[in-house]
Amino acid sequence: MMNLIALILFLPLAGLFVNLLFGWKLGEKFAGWVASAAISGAFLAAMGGFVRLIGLPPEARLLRLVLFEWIPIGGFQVNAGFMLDPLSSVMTLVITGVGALIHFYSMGYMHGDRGVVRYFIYLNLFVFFMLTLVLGDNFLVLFVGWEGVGLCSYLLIGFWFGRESACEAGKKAFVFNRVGDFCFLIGLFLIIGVFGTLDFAEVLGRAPTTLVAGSGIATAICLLLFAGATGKSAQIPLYVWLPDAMEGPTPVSALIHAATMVTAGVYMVARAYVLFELSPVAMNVVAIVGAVTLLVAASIALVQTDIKRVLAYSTVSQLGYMVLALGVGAYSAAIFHLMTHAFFKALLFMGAGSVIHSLDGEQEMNKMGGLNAALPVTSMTCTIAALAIAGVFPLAGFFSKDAILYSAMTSEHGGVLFWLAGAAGALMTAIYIFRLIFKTFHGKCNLTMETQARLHESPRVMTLPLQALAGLSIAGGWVGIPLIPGADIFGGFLAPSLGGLAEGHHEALFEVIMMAISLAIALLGIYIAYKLFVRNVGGGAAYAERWPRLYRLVLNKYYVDEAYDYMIIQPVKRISTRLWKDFDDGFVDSSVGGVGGFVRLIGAAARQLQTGYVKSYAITMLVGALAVILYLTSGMK
Amino acid sequence: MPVVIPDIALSLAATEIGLVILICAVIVADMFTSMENKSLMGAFSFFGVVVLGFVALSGWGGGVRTTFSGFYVLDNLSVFVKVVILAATGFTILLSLQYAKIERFNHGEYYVMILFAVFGMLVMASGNDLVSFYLGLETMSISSYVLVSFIRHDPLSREAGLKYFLMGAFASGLLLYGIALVYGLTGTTSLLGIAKTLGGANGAAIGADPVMVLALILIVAGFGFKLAFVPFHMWLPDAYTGAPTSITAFMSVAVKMATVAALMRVFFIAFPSVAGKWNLLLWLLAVLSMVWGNFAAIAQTSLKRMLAYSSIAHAGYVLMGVVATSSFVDGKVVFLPLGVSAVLFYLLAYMVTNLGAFGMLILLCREDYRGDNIEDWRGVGRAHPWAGLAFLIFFLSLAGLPPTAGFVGKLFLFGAAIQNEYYWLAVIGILSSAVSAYYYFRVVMVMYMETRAESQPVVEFSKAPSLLAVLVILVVATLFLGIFPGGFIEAARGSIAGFI
Repeated sequence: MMNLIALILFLPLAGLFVNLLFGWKLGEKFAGWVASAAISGAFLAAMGGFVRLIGLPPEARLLRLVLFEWIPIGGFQVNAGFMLDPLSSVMTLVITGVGALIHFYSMGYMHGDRGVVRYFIYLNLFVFFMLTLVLGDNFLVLFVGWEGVGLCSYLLIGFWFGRESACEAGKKAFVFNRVGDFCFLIGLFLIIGVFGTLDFAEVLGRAPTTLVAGSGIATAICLLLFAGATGKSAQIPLYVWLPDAMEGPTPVSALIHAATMVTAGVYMVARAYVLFELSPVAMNVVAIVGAVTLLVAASIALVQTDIKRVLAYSTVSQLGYMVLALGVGAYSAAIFHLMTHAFFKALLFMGAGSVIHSLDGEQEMNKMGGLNAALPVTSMTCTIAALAIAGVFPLAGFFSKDAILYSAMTSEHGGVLFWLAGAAGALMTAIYIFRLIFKTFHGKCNLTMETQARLHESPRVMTLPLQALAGLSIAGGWVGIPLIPGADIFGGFLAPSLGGLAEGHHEALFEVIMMAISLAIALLGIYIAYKLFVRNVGGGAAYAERWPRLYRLVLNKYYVDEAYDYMIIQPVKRISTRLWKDFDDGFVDSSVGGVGGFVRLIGAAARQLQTGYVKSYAITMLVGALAVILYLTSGMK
Repeated sequence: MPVVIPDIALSLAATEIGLVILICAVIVADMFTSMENKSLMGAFSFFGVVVLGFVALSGWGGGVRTTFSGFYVLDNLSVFVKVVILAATGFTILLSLQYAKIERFNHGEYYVMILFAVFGMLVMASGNDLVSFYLGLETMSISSYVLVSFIRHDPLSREAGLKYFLMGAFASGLLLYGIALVYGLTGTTSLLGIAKTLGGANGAAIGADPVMVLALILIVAGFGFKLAFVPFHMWLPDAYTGAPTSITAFMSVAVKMATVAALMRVFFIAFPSVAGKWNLLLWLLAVLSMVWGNFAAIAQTSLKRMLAYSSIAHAGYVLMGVVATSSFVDGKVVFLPLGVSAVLFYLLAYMVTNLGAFGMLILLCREDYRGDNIEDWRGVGRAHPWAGLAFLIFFLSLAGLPPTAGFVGKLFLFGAAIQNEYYWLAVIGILSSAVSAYYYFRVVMVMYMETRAESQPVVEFSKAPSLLAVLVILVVATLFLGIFPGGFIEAARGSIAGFI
């Protein structure tokens, strides 16, 4: 019997190698098909793994694969080990499923670009690392995937180089992720220090007995891990890289910055939920960060005019929902939303890509409008996705968002405030997403005549994936229907990985009321968007004029970028330049130039320029030695 | 008076003796070789070094054996160090073959001087006495001064050599003075003898003597200079930038390997009873080097100079492992082997990575075009995907990202620091390596995301098969050490047998 885990992992790698060796010669079409076939194959393998898991009794649903002993250091050993349990099974299905669709879509989208082969190589490499991340059976393999997806994402963000902004965006993503990764690494070392291992099964199994609940060390580990998650999953305070990352090609935004990589932080926290349960403080921090992020990002999304930026902030906001769910202990709701979000957000991005594609790269919504007629499939599918993300019954987003809101209210870690934040976010979500739909597909067409003449629906290879995702955006939520006994298949399936379902007393009436409220909020939001952007075009602008300060504040994203630049980036640059220029090179400059006050100061040594300046080195060393003496004698007593 | 003939087991020094024979052979052969064929000397030296590598390897696992009246020791540690040094030498020679022609310093003496330096390093690795260690150090240093200034027609290289020489002489003086003081206090220069005296009846008094403190300071400062720890580092950026790139590569790995090995031997064997003093001192140097090296590297525009600063930081990481070896229980030091093995593995990982990184500079170098500025790499990643990939892998490894040698090495080092409860050291190390990722990655961005300016010459790589072969080997080794480090970690752990 072939090992399914190996198959899932190595098919993308195989696609990569084929393209690496032959893709350059055989051309774009070949490369696209190879890459897509590899991911589709991985999807089939993931399905196979899923079926295999289903066939096992719930508590035994775990497949393992140990490739080799990776790092044997003393008593501490790490294997290149992988496991497929319900949680990673869901993740692999999402990654390979949505990933395959995006690969197919890319063949149309990237058609004619000079770097297509390279693009598909990066894309396959990305999927490989993403699968490593979710399949790893210990923190270190997860970390390998974690860094790997990061690397691919920087490369893909900067794919269209020559564009200065793309380069800057790649750098920004890198720097902000490093901050998160730094904390994550320290967290890992703390885990090594406490448990002596990084194996999930051992760490999570021993955590309740080894760590004291509520202890400082438990909180430290959780907060450090979570800091890593805020980098990767674009949460406050490290979210600012994601909107800029939209410089990459649109399918990349769909795959990496919507459906998969950015959810890695959510996955990691869910995976390590046992640790988080031990620290109420960390849980609270997680929930608060999620709630604030979802509000801040949603409010920014209300006023952006670049179609991809609206979607980017929307992604940050939706990730906030997932993090909020984690923080209130509703892990399976978080993963549920992760899945449905992958469907409708990938669809929205690809729809936006389809629009951009047919408009020759135009991303400004103010210049669009009325595209419904020319792009019927795109318009239709995007509207479905918008209904889903807004949370309209019975689409996918309704169920997952409702699950989160319900838990935010009722969970022991939750509270009314969290629910309010979620509800307010839901209202804004409905408004901004329908603002996008109305501005793009409806109303007056703001395009120039010649662009209008060239308008065309995207090719089949692009629209078919859109339709498939539209289907999933409708039906994807039906696996997690609450209330009806046994209908929450999703939660039941995840239970072995994420702890038993909270089989608390469900007050049916209360739950129905909650559902009705969230549906009402969604419909209200859509109605507001309709009033402001269709019935009374310019209604939005009127509000902007009424509160110009607030409008500018939000439009400029609360000036967070500027604050970071002023408080952190500039000072670091100054310090490093000073260290180098004033201390180390101060001597060099004065000597190599062969002139300057330095020589005059030395006077007698002027003729022996070099030795004079070596002398200053020697003096530095002597000063160093003297400092050392001072230190030692003071410590001696 | 009867003359006691010490028992001299020459076979234990087989590698060194073989090396001397090789050196003589190269010198003689050089006289009969015409200017155009000097590369033959390189090839000759290379094969000699390969053979010597196997000779050195054969000493593995034989336990601790001393000869020359205890001046000389052969144990697993010295074998590990020697093999790595010889490997680095072999790679360096292959890197040089074409490069020496381009920079017009293709003389037979070049290879002879490298081999002389290697001889000094091997002696250092086996030096069991402050005198034999110092002899090795000087042999290595003097050869290095010559090598740094080997591009005689280039003022930058000459200047670098002169500076390096003056500072080196100064540091040697400090070190020698320290050794003299230790001899004066303990009456011996043998490492074991010193340890015995310091651990003996009068040990505590001698250890507390201010002169002893001064001696320790001088020795630490001497090592500090040779390894370029901040604040003794100022010569390094100049020397590394001015030297021929192949020599920069060689010094950054081989000189470091030999000196760190000697440092560990001297401090762990001779001075365990005063460990509290030197350990805190080294702690400070490690932190300063990691922080300063990484921050100063950010601002560089010359790639060679950036790598020079980065090598200061890497020396800091290595020193972190040395520091993390000592653990203090009730004021008494206990050496934990994890730190030493981490240091050795890291040096091995750094050897393949850094040689590779400098090798990439040599790859781009051609006559009248050094190609050692960051700008020179604009757009190379796109135009030459394989070369870009190779450089990317080296940078990943330098930054300590998976799946490369540098990642496992750093994990090992930081793990050792954490396990021995040097939490702050580990945190500073991780933080500074996070900073380092920034400037390494900047080059990657330049390679992949910027287009070449009109004014820049077209990229034309060296086509020397020896260079390409080395680079391929080094890339594969960097990945191999990252993915299958098991055997090498075992070797690093085995090399402390009988040491501490």
